[in-house]
Amino acid sequence: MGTILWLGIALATVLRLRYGQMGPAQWDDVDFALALQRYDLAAMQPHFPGYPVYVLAGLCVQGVIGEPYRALAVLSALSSGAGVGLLYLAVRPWFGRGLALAAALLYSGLPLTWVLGTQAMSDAFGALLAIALAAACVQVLQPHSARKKAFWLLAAGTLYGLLLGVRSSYLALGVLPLWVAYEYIRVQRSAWSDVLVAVVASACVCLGWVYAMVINSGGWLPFWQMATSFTEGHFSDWGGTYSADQPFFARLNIWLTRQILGAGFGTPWGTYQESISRWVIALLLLIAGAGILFSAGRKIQKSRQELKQESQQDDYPGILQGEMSAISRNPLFKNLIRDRKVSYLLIWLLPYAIWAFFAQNVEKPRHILPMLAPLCVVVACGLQVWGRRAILAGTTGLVLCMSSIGISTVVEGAHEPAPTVQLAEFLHTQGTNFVVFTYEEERIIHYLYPQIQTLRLRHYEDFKTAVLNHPNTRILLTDSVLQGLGHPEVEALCKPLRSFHGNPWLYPTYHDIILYEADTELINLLNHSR
Amino acid sequence: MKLKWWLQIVLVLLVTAMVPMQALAYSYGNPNEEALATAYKNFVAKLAVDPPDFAGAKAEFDPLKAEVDQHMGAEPAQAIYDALDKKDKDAAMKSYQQTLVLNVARRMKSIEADFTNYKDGKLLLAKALATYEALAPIVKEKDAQLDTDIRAGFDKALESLGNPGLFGVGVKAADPALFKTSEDTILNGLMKVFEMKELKVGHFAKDSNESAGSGTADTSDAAWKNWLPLVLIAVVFTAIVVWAMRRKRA
Repeated sequence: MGTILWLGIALATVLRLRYGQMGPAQWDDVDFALALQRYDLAAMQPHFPGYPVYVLAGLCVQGVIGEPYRALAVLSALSSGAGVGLLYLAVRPWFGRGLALAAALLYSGLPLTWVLGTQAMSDAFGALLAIALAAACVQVLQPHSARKKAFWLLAAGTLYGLLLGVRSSYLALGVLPLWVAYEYIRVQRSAWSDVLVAVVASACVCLGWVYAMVINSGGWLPFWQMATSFTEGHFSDWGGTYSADQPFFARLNIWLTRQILGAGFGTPWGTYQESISRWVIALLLLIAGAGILFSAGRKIQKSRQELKQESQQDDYPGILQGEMSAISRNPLFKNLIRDRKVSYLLIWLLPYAIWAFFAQNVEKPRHILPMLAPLCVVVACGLQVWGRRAILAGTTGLVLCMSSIGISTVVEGAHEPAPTVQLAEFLHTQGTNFVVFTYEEERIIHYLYPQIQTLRLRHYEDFKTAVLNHPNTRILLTDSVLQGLGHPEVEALCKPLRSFHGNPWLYPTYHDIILYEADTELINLLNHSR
Repeated sequence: MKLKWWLQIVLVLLVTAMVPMQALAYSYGNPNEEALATAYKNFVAKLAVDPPDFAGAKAEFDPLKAEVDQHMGAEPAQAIYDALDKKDKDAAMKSYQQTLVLNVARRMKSIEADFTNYKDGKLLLAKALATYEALAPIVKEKDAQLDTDIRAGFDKALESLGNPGLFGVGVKAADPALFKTSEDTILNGLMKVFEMKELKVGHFAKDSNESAGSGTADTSDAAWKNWLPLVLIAVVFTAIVVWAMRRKRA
């Protein structure tokens, strides 16, 4: 069993190292690559909140490797491989070796862990620390010696502090150590001081990286100004193209079917239905889901019978307690409280899920990455319901199909230039007498060709002003800018010049870019409009 | 009882569905803006329409007159107003452009005057660059290579300010000589394009409104002061870990 796990870890790591990102592709990876060359929050390398622990880890790898993109991709690959091993350790104590192995292997095969394990971004490293946090939390509630338990509690606190220094958006995972601390106090009387020590340790770590950023920005005041200016402007300013304001169910639909199922597990989505693997994955996930429902139903039935026996002894349920007992007596809820295994999974999964859904950009699948580790455990549990053979066959099938999708995606990523890069290369061939209105593409263009003049806008008025400031100049715009203009008479004067394509699973927001050129009539139009 | 439970679930779902989806979209907004340069872009846009909107252009510049007078003397603002009065669009734009060149000079001189102040230096440099961005279209049209050189000059100037690094990794010392050469590249280039013989800036003194707070983090000598709190945090952390582990052994 151990051999299979090590083989899985090794294979995942080696292949991810092989197909790692080599150059710029998206706004965030440019930020991080620049941060390794010169950490400067004011210049948005990287953007707020600064990712100090991640950049520090990146700097360490860079010390060995040298090239920033290579260093970050190697860090992602190593993190994603190590995450597989740590997930095994996080699951084994409560779920047993077999299930832990299945969950870890499933995690290693997920298309999203393939993609993020090769990209130069903070997600793979963040997810590694998130799994490490869960693994430490489990140990606190194992029948260890008092000293060992206190140690793991302290470790959980420290890891949480580091985790926030990697990705502040993983904040909601803090509910897990909170729950563990609560259980720890409940079981072990007068354990308050241990919890306090863990909290102080966590605060120390956070204070450490915050202070490192304060030094970098030159004092508390500039640091504070940076933090506030970050929350002022919004991407959604631009004509509302940034679909942050979708209706609830449309948002839920994208989040569940595209991001979690499609990008995370590799089920069919949109035009990606042709491969058999995707349908096999969907089928196996359905079987696992049915398993979960079946076992939940069985448990509810069991506790309902217990409830019946209890209520026969109970003569007068208090009126004031009516509300409370309605919840606490509900069979499903009762089961949750009783079963620590179930509580552990739900507390690992749900708080972050709610946070990611409401507070994170649903357009980008990478925000769901920390949910995938507990979800793999859920899938493994669902398969286990149908027996030993089912979990063996199901896991094998899922890992093979998911890996085939993941590997073909990252191979494409390693060989085809990103659409943003294609755009930059095309612009580079267009001489100097033009200005291009862009959105996030700007960052990649500037990284490759600083001399290309790009403009990023917030309002239509800015557009008008900028065009009038560039007479006798070719005006180019990308589709993300044009869509946000909201002025049909301007749109009518823009003709498509060239389009660039990439894999949407690799580049979730900028996979199809259309470059437009404005007719010279545009200046006349704007000249006469007030 | 059971009905109540289901009602509660439905209610919670309804409430969450009604909460507007205000996602905390990120902002990569630029904190470094220069009012004089932003006003210039609007000024040009007002004059570019047909017929030119001189009153509107004047209204864009009016709020900035006091600042320009204070740092560059009365002449530049007067030249802009004279051209606007004569309804001479090109002269008005040219006067404003020259004022912007003076503004770049003013920002660069302010950095030079207090070179070790990292925090203010970076802000002032960003303002100088924002000013240049307004002029860039004209520079580029006349001499594309010069535009590239000036941008490289700004990059060098930023490099010359040094960097406090992160956790002591990537610390770079400030380099006054490098700053001086990049400043010369930028200002000489601008003087050439905008036909100016000299850059007379009234007050070389530091602007009182932009140097809020004392320069706490100098890149030069007081580096150890930066490290003190970090060391302190590390000591506290180690102390509680050791204390907690010792206590359990007993």
